[in-house]
Order: sequence, then structure tokens, then C-alpha cells
Amino acid sequence: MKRLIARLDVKSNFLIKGVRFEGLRKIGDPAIAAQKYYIEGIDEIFLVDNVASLFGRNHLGTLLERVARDVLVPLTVAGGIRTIRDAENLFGLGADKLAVNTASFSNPNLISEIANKFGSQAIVGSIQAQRLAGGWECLVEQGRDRTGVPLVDRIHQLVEFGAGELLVTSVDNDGVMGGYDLQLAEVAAASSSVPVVIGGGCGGIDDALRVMKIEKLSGLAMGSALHFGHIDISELKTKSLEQENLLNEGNRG
Amino acid sequence: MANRTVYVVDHGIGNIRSVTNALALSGYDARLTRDPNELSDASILILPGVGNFGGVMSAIQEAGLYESIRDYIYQDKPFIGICVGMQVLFQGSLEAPSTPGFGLIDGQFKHLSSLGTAEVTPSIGWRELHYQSDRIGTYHLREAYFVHSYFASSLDDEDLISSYLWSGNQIPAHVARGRVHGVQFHPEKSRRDGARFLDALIQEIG
Repeated sequence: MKRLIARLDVKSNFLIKGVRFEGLRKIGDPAIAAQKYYIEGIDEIFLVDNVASLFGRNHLGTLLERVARDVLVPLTVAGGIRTIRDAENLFGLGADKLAVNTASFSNPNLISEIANKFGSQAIVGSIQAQRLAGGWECLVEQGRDRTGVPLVDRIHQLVEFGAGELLVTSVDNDGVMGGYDLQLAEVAAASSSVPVVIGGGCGGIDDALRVMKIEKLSGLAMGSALHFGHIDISELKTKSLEQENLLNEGNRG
Repeated sequence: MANRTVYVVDHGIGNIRSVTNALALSGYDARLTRDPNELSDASILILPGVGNFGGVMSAIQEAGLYESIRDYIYQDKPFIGICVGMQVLFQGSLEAPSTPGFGLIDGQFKHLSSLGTAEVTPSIGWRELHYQSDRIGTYHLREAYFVHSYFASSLDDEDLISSYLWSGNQIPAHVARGRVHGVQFHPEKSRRDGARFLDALIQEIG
């Protein structure tokens, strides 16, 4: 069964959500949302400090401590992680994993430093992928800046640095709720030797079930679809189990 | 059991706080310790651990806790090792071939890829547990959160309590020798059921 991950974008203690990483608007309290998804059966929580990487700081401390106290599923934190000191602080406050994108372009050693000290399982290589003719390019600074680095090259690089899993988010589909970039999910999962989580675009149960058919995919991140009440987690779990059983029967037959 | 003190070894690697958080939810007074005397006197000791086998063993050495932990487990005192904290109970791991473990339980850790399946590693996610032994009567956890790349091979059946299936291979999830237990999964990250499992296990062996 693929992991269902709730993505919570946070800005000054508000849960926010944008479209294609822009036009962010406040939609609630992230601690209450995390608790709600946890009770409903989410498998993991992904907290993103949305403006952190722009200003080189991370504000999630108090929120992270609060969430970690009652939410007993893995917590991944992203945004503004630049040094091993930032990493140590966030692990100390209750993060299980950190996801790094922007800083690992300017400091390629960051991922291997974190992996060496805390283990590969604690570091997620984050990719913000934008579709171009014939493939995808990796962006930084929450989808604001281009890097010129193609998706598959970046996947190999992150695995080599020591990332224990990858989170690949479609910048084009983010917040649109028109479905995942299925091709992106397929290519990323096939190119990686570590587990891949796909994000960006989920609008409802059908989108989730569709991307789950990609066998090598390890998990799916969902933001808007949860925040706006388009997905009931236990219903999704039941349906995905049914789909998995059907696919298995099909493979045997 | 409310307000009972549980000591958690603080070797400084990874999210040790998550273990004390989960214990606190069951009413325990969970204390982090790196004091060898406090550790030796503990009525129940938990050794968390993420990252790699060699890293955790050398952190234990550097903190000056090697002898106290070794004596504690060889005296068959109530102990729970989590993830790499479970792995170090064994003789060793191919992850760090030159670093011996505590050697209480027979077997060695090998990389999951040596099983030759098509699965990617690490093995991350929720797995259903299958109980092989009735030694743990109190509470059978149905599913648990795993994240690991190495598994216990050549394990004695007598030491195995539960396992999960990974592309048809039986992967040890919970092992025990006497009152010394080790779990490959993260009960502290396995929802309220995981916290209940820890509570029940502590009451059973403590």
C-alpha cells in the first residue's frame, strides 16, 4: 500500500496554499489540520515553511514541537534548511526527516553531511519539476528560479549524495487540483533507486487512485485536496486496497 | 501504568524526542539519559536508533555507555531496542563490518537488496505484522511503520516474535531474548496503536 502524505504549507503559523507555488492564501491552523489528518489515518505529515528558503530561516520550531507531541506518524520538514546546524535543531524539535532542495544546489555537501550524521532515511531529496519540451527541469526557491538541471540527472545526483527517498513535485500541477503529472511520476519512479513520492495536482480520490497504479511509486503527497475537503482518507484507503487487490488478481490471471 | 519512569538512551543520533513523546502519551515519565549510573539502575531501558549501525555503536562508545548497556542486557533486564537500537543487539551488520554489535542475539544484518527482489530500498512504509510466537500475549500490533535497508538474517526461530513480508521474504520485525526485546519498526511513529504496543510491552517485561 502506498504511503499517503499530507502536505501542509505554512507561513507565519498559518496553513496556506497557492497555485503553482504562487498566490498563497491563508486557509487555517496547521496544527489543527495535522491533528485532523492524523486522526483520519494519514500515513505521514509533511510540513513546509513556505517563505523560509527566500529569507534563509525556518520558523516552524514551535509548530513542529506542538505537532510532534501528539501526532505519532513520521514528520518531514522542509524550507530554509541551509546548514547541518539547522538540521540538528529541527531533529531536536521532533522532525523525523528533512527535505532539502534549494540549499543543496549552493551547498552540494549538505545532503551527504545530514545523511552521514542522521542516516539516509532522515534526508529526503526534494525536486520541484517543471515540464519542458521533452522532459522536466528542476526549479529552486519554491518554483521561482530555474537551474537548467534536467529531472533525471538531478534524481541520480540526489541519490548519490545520500538521499534516502525523493519527493518530486510538479510545479505545473501544484494547487490546480486537476490530477498528478502521471508521466512525471512514472519517469521519476523508474529512474530512482530509492523510494519516490509524487506531489502536485491531486484534486480528489480518482486522481489519487490513478497515480497509485504506478507500481514503483512509494507514496503520494496531497495538499489542497485534503484542505478543501475533497478527500476522505479512510475512503481513499479502502478504495486503494480494493484497487490493489484487483490489480494483483489481474497480474495472476 | 501512570507515572512510571522509563529511561531512554540519549546518544544524540536522530529524533529521540519522538520516543519520549509516545511514552508520555501513555502516562510514563520518560527521561533521556547519558549517565551510565542512571542507565544501569533503570528498571526499564529503551535504546532508540536511526541512521547506521556503525554510527550508533560509535555514538554509544563516545558517550561512554558501551559497558553499561552491555552489562544491562546480559543481566536480562527489561530492555527495548528500536530500529538500529534493535540491530546492535546482534553480532554485527554488513553495513559496518568492522564494528561488532553487543552479540546477545545470534545473527547478522544484510542489505535487503541481497534478497534479489525488484523492490527499491530503503523499505519505507506501513507493513502488516505476522506473529510467529505467542510469547507476547498482551498486545499484537497489526501494522507498523518501517524504514530500514538492513534485515536480520540467520536468525534463530526461537528469538523471532513477529515479521513482515517483503516481496515474499519474511523480514524480522520483533525479536527477543529473555526480557531484552528489539523491534525493527518504529512503534513511536506507528500511531496510537504503536504507543499502546510500547506500553503493553513495558508492562509485560518490566
